[in-house]
Amino acid sequence: MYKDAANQVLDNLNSFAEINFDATKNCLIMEGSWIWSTINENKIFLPLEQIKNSLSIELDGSRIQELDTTGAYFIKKIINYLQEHKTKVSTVILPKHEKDLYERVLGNLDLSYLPDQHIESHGLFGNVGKWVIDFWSDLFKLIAFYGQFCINFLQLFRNFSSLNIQEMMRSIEDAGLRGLWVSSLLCFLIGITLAYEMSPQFVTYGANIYVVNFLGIALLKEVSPLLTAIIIAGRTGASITAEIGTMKVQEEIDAIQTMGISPIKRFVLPKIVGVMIAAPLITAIADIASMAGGAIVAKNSLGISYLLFFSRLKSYVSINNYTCGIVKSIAFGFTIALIGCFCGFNVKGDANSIGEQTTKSVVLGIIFVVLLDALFAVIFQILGV
Amino acid sequence: MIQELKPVIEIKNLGTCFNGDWVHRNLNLTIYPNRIITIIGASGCGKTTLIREILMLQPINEGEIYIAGEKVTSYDVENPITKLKLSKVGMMFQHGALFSSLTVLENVMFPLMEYTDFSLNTIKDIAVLKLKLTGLPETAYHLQPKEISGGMLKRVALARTLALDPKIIFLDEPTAGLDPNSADGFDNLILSLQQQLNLTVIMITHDLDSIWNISDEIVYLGNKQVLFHDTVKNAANSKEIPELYNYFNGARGKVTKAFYLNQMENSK
Repeated sequence: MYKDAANQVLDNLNSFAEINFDATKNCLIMEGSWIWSTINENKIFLPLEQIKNSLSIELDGSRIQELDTTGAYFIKKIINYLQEHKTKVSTVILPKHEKDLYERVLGNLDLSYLPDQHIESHGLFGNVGKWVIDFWSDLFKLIAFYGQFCINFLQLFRNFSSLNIQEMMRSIEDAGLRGLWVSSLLCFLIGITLAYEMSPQFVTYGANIYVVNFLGIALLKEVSPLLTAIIIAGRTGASITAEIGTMKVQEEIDAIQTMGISPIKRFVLPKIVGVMIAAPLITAIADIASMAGGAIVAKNSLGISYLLFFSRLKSYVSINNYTCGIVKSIAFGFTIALIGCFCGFNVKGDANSIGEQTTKSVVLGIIFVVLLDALFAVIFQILGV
Repeated sequence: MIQELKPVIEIKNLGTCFNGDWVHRNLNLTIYPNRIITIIGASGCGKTTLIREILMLQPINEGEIYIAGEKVTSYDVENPITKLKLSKVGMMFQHGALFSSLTVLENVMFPLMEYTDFSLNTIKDIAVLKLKLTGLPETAYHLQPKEISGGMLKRVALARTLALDPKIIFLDEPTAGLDPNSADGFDNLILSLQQQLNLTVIMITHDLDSIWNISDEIVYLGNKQVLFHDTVKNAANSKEIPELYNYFNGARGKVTKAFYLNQMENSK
């Protein structure tokens, strides 16, 4: 029967399937249309409960207007139900055309077989164990993928022309040019917010001018590269995974392989190199945007002129902060693109898998970026920059 | 041909335009129930477009389409009237278009779950029934579409098409990519289901064996219109349209034609 009432009303051409028990004739009379849209599963079994102490009964469907396979299935189900309650159906009367369909469709079909789906259940510990095993196997696969990439990358130095420049430029355009405005805007706003939140603290100690040092170090070294990397992971990482995943599903990767061309060299290398070029470029612009945001608040809230802000920035904030941010962004870009490609290659042939791997690509991308950031903090500390 | 039944599909003066190019212009076609109609024509002549238009997947620029006397106008699938119309027609896509994340059984259960309020067990039973009608082995019921062969995939797609007992089914190249045995089996399946369930089958195919084996009528599309609409035998013998004549009497066509005409003679 139709799921919603709106559809039910529309189907007023067909009358509902009805079944009534005629005790005088010891007969079940079926009327109306017996098609999927007019059968109410809960109602058609109710009259059957009236049948008591009857060993044999007739099923009279001569007044059925229309029958489809679903209707035929329900007639069969009624017969099964009656048999379970020790009542045998002696004859089934149906109009000729419907009888043909009923016999043709259900005569040879045994509905007793209904396979059950075997669902594996591991329990809590089993699931944790499975997760750990999956995690390690994924990690090893990622390392193997990294190795393959490194081999192809080193081969690039021998023959630079083997790099697909067109694909690389597309990657730079996608990660760089198209992601530029969003990362710049976010960094600009973060610059404003940070300066605005911190300015009362500086005013309290009369150290207004130190806002420049604070913003210089925090934004250039940490916030801008990190925020830009997160934007790249969300935009480019996801799009790389979806693109390679779709190619995998459509057997394009297999096609490339059968042509004797390495899919890593053809698709992965240009993408990773492209993102590695684009990431520092947009980080540099995001740096400018964030400092501009800071400078605006510094002028309006702390009374530091633009000239003073930038001259102080130049003399008191070491260029190393900026360089560190840029170096980090190259590493971030590399990690995100590598994970994006890796997840793309992990797609198994269905639509769900693309979604799963895309999510994984973004989540892993961001996790690895933050871990790398921590690692860089330690390294820079040791190097004293 | 004398037709005593009401037409199931009527197309009047249909016109379709893609970027200034007319694919169909003044196309008229009337299809009567309980028969297998094959739409043939050169690649790119708009066979699939025509089916997509009847199924409301493609807007039309001119003319009218009627399914069982009701005009096809709405393209909003959430509209109850459109839903009702669509539940009466079924479409089997060329590559099956099965949902890759669902199992075979779940694929067939899907339309029933969406349209009906039957209990889950009943829906499962009905889905199993449809799968049995198409002759799919029981071992494949819980497999994913990617795990089954091309022939099985077509059977599942057909079972899903039949899930809501449509009166009219459209088949887009049902035997493409199948080995001769599977293709033959599938032809027989279409024929037996058409007879058992009193279906009107409209199919697009380039398979000459399918055309001769199961088609009742041929619709030849060309020059943006229906150029020919008659029985297979008449189509094969018609000399009015050179392309149609070549279709059945060309290097490939003549072998099949001779074989089936011979078979027809013998069966008399």
